[in-house]
Amino acid sequence: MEHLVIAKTDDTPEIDFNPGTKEMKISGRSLPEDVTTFYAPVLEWLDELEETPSGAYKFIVNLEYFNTASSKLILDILMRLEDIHTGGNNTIEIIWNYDKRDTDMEEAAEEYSELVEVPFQIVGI
Amino acid sequence: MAPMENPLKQIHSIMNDENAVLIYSGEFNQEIVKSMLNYTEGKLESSGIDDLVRKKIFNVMVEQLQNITKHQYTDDEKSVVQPCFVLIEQENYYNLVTGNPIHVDTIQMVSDRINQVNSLNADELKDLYKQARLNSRISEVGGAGLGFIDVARKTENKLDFGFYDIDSANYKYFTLKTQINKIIE
Repeated sequence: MEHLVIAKTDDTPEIDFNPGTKEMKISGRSLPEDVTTFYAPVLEWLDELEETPSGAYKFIVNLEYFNTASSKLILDILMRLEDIHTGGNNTIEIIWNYDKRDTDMEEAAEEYSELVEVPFQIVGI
Repeated sequence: MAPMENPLKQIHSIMNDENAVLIYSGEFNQEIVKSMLNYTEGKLESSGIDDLVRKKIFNVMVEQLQNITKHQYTDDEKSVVQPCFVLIEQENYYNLVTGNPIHVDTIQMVSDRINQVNSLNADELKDLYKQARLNSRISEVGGAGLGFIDVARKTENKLDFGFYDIDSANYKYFTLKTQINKIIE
């Protein structure tokens, strides 16, 4: 497993998936023109993780905003994490941090947590 | 469905309104959308607006602008009327207005989608969004087909829309006006 790092831009989030610390972080804003291309390396990394027994991973979300197309891709990522968690090679815990005044983001996190069978903490900061 | 007043006249009168935060008419692409978002965020921040209202405006603006970017037609009729965007501050709310030519063949679908969204309450919109997202596939132009539902949820107001005749056999001008209240309950 390689350390996947994508620097953040005006319209794409920072991706930091580190097999050393076993933390997968996504932070910032997500409104790329082409969500499929942007998230392809993330999904490929998760495919590799599914095949590689390596332990207990945390998926840490620090997103301040995402558009509807990204919302679909985030669902794809969470479903992939569920596959990994139930697949037996690794365990996953999701920690979703949000600005505690932002009820739209809180609701978005709750809706995701209802859809996937993975330990899911929603933390207002 | 469509009020009879000429939309271009309406947009013209909006453009002369001193409360306009941003007015744009011309080509839409991702770089232009990013510039518009940066400009608007800066302007709203310096106006002392509530952070949450600013975030909502940003959210809704992205969906409305990317909707135009993704669904611009590319044939030779594009000189007919340019797409546009207007953000205007009213006493108790902000209006975000987009206008763009739309092919007559897609009018029914767009109109049905918005009417459906307008007929639902908050809980029903939430269910529709969750279901639509599960079933959604990212389209060739990069959309998830969730924009109208998301905008209705975030604004908590009905979507105001119309289709107007322009000098074209195959296109009409589609306007969409959303409203974001200054006080969030």
